[in-house]
Amino acid sequence: MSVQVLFQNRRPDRIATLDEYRRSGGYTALSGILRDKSRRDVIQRVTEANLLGRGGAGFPAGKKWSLVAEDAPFPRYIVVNSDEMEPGTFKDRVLIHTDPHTIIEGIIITGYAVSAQKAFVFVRPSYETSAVILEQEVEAARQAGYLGKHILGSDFSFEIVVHRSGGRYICGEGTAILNAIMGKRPNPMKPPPYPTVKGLWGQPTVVNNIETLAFVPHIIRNGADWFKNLAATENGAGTKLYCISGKVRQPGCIELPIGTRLSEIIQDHCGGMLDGSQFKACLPGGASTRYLTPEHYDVPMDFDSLKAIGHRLGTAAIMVFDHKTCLVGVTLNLIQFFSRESCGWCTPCREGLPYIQDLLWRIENGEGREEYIPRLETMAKHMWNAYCALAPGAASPVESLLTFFEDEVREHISQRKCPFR
Amino acid sequence: MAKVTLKINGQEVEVEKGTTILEAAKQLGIYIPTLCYHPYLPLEEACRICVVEDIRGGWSTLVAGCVFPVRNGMVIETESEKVIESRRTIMELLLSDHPNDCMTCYATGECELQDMAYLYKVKPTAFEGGERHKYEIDPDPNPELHLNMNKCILCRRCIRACSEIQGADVWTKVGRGFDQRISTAFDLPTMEAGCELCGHCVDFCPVDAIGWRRGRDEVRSWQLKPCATVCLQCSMGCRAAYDVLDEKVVRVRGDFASPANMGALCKMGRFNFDFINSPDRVRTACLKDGDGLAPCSLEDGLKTAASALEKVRDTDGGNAIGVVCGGMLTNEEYYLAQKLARGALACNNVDNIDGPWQQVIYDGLASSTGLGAMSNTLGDIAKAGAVLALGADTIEKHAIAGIRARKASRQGGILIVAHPQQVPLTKTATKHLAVKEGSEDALVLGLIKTIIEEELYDKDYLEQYTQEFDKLQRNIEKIGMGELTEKTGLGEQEIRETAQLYASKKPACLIYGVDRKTAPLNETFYRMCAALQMLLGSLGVEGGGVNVMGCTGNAQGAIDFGAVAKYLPGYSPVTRAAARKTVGKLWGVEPSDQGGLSWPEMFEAIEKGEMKALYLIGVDPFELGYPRAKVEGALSRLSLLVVQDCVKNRAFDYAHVVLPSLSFIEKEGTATNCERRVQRLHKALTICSDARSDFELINGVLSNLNPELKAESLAATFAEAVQLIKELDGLSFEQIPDEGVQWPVDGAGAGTVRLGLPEEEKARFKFYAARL
Ligand SMILES: Cc1cc2nc3c(=O)[nH]c(=O)nc-3n(C[C@H](O)[C@H](O)[C@H](O)COP(=O)(O)O)c2cc1C
Ligand code: SF4
Ligand code: SF4
Ligand code: SF4
Ligand code: SF4
Ligand code: FES
Repeated sequence: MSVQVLFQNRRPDRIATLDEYRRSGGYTALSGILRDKSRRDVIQRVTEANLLGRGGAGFPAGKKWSLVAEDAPFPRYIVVNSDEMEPGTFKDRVLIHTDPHTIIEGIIITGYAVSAQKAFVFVRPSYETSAVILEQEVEAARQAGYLGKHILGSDFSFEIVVHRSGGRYICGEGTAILNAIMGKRPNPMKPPPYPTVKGLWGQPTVVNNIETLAFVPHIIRNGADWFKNLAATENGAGTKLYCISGKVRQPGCIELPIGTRLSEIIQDHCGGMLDGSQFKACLPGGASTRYLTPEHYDVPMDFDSLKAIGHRLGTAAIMVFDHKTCLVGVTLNLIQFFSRESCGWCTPCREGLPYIQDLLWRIENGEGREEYIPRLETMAKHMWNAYCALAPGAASPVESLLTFFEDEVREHISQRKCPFR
Repeated sequence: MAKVTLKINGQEVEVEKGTTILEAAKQLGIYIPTLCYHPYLPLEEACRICVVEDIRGGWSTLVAGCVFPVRNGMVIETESEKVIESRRTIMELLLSDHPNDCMTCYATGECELQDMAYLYKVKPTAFEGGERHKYEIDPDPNPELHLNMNKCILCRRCIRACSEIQGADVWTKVGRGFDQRISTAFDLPTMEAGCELCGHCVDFCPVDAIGWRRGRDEVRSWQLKPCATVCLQCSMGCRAAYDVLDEKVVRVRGDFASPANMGALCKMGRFNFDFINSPDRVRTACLKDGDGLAPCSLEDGLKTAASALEKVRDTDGGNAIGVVCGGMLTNEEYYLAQKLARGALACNNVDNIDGPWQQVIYDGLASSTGLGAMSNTLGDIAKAGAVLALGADTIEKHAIAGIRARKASRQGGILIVAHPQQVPLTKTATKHLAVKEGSEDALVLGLIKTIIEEELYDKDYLEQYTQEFDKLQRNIEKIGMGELTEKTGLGEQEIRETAQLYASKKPACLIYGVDRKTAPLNETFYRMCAALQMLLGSLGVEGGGVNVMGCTGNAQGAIDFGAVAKYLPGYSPVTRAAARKTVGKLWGVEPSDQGGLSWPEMFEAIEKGEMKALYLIGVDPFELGYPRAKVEGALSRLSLLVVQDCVKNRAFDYAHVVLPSLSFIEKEGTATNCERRVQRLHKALTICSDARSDFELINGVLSNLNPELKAESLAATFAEAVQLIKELDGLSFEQIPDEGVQWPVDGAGAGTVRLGLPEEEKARFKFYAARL
C-alpha cells in the first residue's frame, strides 16, 4: 500500500484515539510551532508544499491564508467546511470517523497561522455521528491543553465550535456558509469583499475544506518537499482521499498519491469493474464535473492533469458508470438534485435548471424532440451566467452529456423511449 | 479620486475608480437594460439581464454591468452577440414562468418586463409547456396593495424598498430555487406583518406582482398624466407625482429627485387623496338662505363676503373680525390672508391653526441659535450617532423624519424614543421612555441636569461656540430631580441612563414633532432643546441639530409669511412701530397698532361677544380639539361666518357665505416645509367648477374691499413678501428650482442646508436659564 497520511491510523471498526494519534506523532507540529515558529513561517511552509484546497476548486491554501492581512482586524475566524453534499462525495465523513485529531490539530495550526480566535466546523446534519465525534474529541483536545486559553502555555488561545448545517447543498458554498453560520438565509455573497477580508460578522474569515486542513500538521512536521514528493505526478502535491462509487467491485474511500491514474484506481484499488460491466464513463469529482470517457481512462487524477484535458478534479468523488447505465437518466437525476438545491437568488439557475430538468425528463420519458438538443446546449452554456458556482457546476454533466453522448440522447428521441429500459 | 479609462462599444470614457460599468455607460449615453437594479436601492445582482461582455485579450466573460466595477483599460461591449443571446435567454426564462397576461394586466405600458421583451423581441412562447407557478391572485387583504405573485420576477426590489427605505421589513424571500417566492415572515397577512402602508414596494415593483388597488381594472397606464407637486398633508413637504386621469387622482408616486423625501412617502401622502374627488367637494359659492345654503355666482359670493366683513369692521371695529387659516395654504395665500386682515380689515387677528405652536418654536430657537426653525435637514437624521425622538408619534405624523431615525438606528446609531405609548418607532429603538404626555420639557431638563452634573458635555465646544453657559449651569442646580421625575413619570435612574446613552454617540440629533393634541410648550422648552444639543457639541453640525417639525403642511410658510397675530411677514413684531411703518410704505396702508389674537384667543373673544365675524380659510373648527358644544356655541354666536374650503365641513351649517376653494394638488404657489425648504407647487389636476384657489378667493375679497391692495399675480405677491422677509433675501418665484431652496437665502438665491457653527463671537449660540 502507498503512503498513508490522513489514514495512517485508520481502524476497521473505530476512530483513532487521542493517544493513538499522539503516538503517531500527533500534536508535535502544534507544540513545535508554538515554541519557535511565527505565523508567517507556517503560511510559508504550507504555500511551499503547494497544498491545494480539497473542497473542489483547488485553490492554494497558503495563498488564501496570506490574504488575511497582517493588520486585519480582530477577531478572525476559521470556517471548516464539511458540509459535503456534493453527490458521490463521502471523504469528509470517512476522515472524521478515522482520525479526528489530525483534523483538530490542522484547524488549530491554521488558526495560529492567521491569528484567528475561533473556528466553526460546519457539519452536514445527516452526519450527526460525525458531529458527535468531533464534539467529543474537541473536548478531549481541550482537556489535553490543545484548545482554550494559552494553549500549551503559549500566548495563543483558540476555540473550536461544531456547528450543524441546516442541510442544504448551497450551505457548503464558500460564502453562503458564512450566512448559514450567522443564522441568515444561506444565499451566496459574491466577492468582493472576500471572506478573508470581510467574512463572518464582517471579520476576516478563512474557509477551508476539512480534508485540506487535516494535511496541515503533517506538512509542518515533515516539510514541504516530503509533501510534494507524495504525489504521483510532477506538479501534484500530497495524497488525496478518493471516493469511488458505482459499477466497481470494491467501492469506498481510499487515500492514494494525488495524480494516481484513473485506470489504476479502478483496476488496482477497487478490484476493477463489476463482472459483465464495461467502463462507459465516470464523473471524476462529484456531480459538478464533466463526464470522463474511456478515451481518458489513464488520466492522472490530479488538478492539473484533468484541467489540461478540459475536466475538473472537483472533490475526487469518482462515480463510475457502465455500458448498461443510461446517462440521460443519470443526468436527469443529478439535475433534479441541483434544481431542488438552487437557492433561487439568480434568474439563470432558478429558472434555468428546472427548464433543463423538464427537457431531460421529456427526453428520458420518450417525449423528446430534436430541437431540445440545441436548447439544452444553449441553456447549459447560459448557466455560466449565474451568480455563484452552483449553476455552472450543475451544467457540467449536461454539457458533457451532449458533447460525448449525443448519440445516446438522439436514440432516446428517435426511439421515443429510453433504450436502456 | 483616482481616474480610470475604459472603452465601451469602442468609445473611450474616463470615470472615477469604483464606478460600475452601468454608471460609466450612462455617462456615454449607452443604455444597459436592468431589472433588479434600482438607482435608489442597494445592489442585488439577481436578474443578470444587465450582462455585458468584458473582453480581455483573446477571451471574454459576461459580467453584471450593474455591480461590476470598471478597470483601467477595460474593453466592454454592451450589445455583442454573446450579450444579446444571454439577455434573450434571461428574458425567455423569466417569461417561461410568467402568466404573460399583458392584455388585461394593470402594468401594461409601464411594465419593465414587457418593455424588455419588446426591446429584445422575446416571445413568451419560446419555452412552452414548462411548469408555471399558480399562486392565488389577490390573497392578501391589504387595503392598498394588490398581490399577484405569478407575475413576480424575483428582482426583490420590494424587499429592499421595504427594508432600506421604510425600515418595515415586511417582505422576505421564502423557499428555494424555482419555488422561491416573495412573502412575509410565516406567511402572515401583510398588515399583521407590520405593513405601514407607505406604498414603496408598489412603487418599486417593476411588474404587476405587488400592484396598486387604486385604478385597477379602471385605467390604462398611458391614460394617466403624471404631475409632480408638493404634498401638504404634513410638514415634511414631500414631492410626489400624482397620476391623474381626467378629473381624478388615481395614484401617487414618490419623487426620487426630491431631497426632502428622496422618493419616500407616508401613507397619507400616498393614499389619502379621496377628498379631492369626494361627493362633498364644494363646487359653487353659497349664501345663507333661511336655514340652509343657496348656490350663488362666485362673484356674488366674493362681493357678499367683502361687504359683510366691511360692515362689521365699520360698525364693530376691526377687532371684531378674525381670520383663521388652515394648514395647507400656500405662502402667497398666507401672505394675502394676513394682508387682508391687517391692510383691509383693520385688525391683526390673523392666525393659522399651527400658529400657537410654531410661534414659540421661532421665539425659542431664534433667540438661542439664531435660526428660528429646524436647524438641520430630514436627511441629516439618518446620519446621526444618537437620535432623541420627542413629541408626536413620529412614524405617523412626521413619517420621513421617522424613517430617517429608523435608518440611523439600523446603521448602528442609538435611538431613544420618548412617547407615552409604544409607538411604531419604539420597535427599532434602543430605549423607549414612557413619559407622561406633554412632559418633554421636564425630560430635556433632566437630561441637561445629568449631563452637567456628570460632566458629559463637550467643554471645548462650549468654550468655542457658545455663550452664557454659566447662566444655565447655576440655575439648573435649583431644579430638583424630584420635580422632573414627577412630571415625566420616569425614575431618576432612567433619566440619568438616558442622558448617558444619548451622550455616548455623536453627533446627537434631537427631533421634536409638534402634536396639536398637546398644548404648546413654551419658548424655554425650545431653548433647552438647543442647550442640550450644544452641551453635546451637536448643534451646527451635520447629523446633529435641534430639529423641530410643525404639524401642518405649510406651518413654516404660514409663520414666515405672517399668518400669525404676533408677527408681520419676516418675523417683525406687529407691536413695533418701525415694522408697521415699513409695511405701511409697501402697502399704502399701515397695519393696526393693536396686537392681534391667536385663534384660541379668538374663540374666547367670540364667547365673550367681542368678536363678531370670522373668516375661516381651509379650517374645520370642529377639528381643533375643542368640545363640539363649545364650537357650536361660538359659531352660532357670530354675526358673520365666511367659510372657504374645498370640501364641505360641519361649519357650513353656520356659514353666511361659503366660498369654494381648491385643494393643494390643484394649485400653484410655494410652500415651505419643516426643513425651511421653499418649494414650488404645481397644478396637477383641474376640476371643472367655480372653485378657485384660496389665493384667488382671498384676492377677490381683498380687491372688493380695497382695489389698491389687489394682488397682480403669485409671483408679484411672492416678490412683495420677500421684501419683508429677510430670510428669503431677494429670492424670486421663478428662480426656485424643483428641489426647492432652504432659507436663509443669500442675495444670490443660494440657500442654507443646515445651521453651521458660529464664526463670529457675537453670533455664538446662547444658553438661557432653565425654567419649568
Ligand atoms: C454549491 C457549492 C457547494 C459547495 N459545497 C462544499 C462543501 O460541501 N464542502 C466544501 O469543502 N466545499 C464546498 N464547496 C466549495 C467551497 O465554495 C469552497 O471553495 C471550499 O470550501 C474552500 O475550501 P478549500 O479551499 O479548502 O477547498 C461548494 C461550492 C459550491 C459552489
Ligand atoms: S447559481 Fe444563483 S440561484 Fe443558483 S445557487 Fe448560485 S446564487 Fe443561488
Ligand atoms: S406584469 Fe408585465 S409582462 Fe407581466 S403580464 Fe403584466 S404587463 Fe405583461
Ligand atoms: S414582487 Fe415585484 S418587486 Fe418584489 S420581487 Fe417580485 S417583481 Fe420584484
Ligand atoms: S407598503 Fe411599505 S411597509 Fe407595507 S409592505 Fe410595502 S414597503 Fe413595506
Ligand atoms: S440589473 Fe444587474 S443583475 Fe439585475
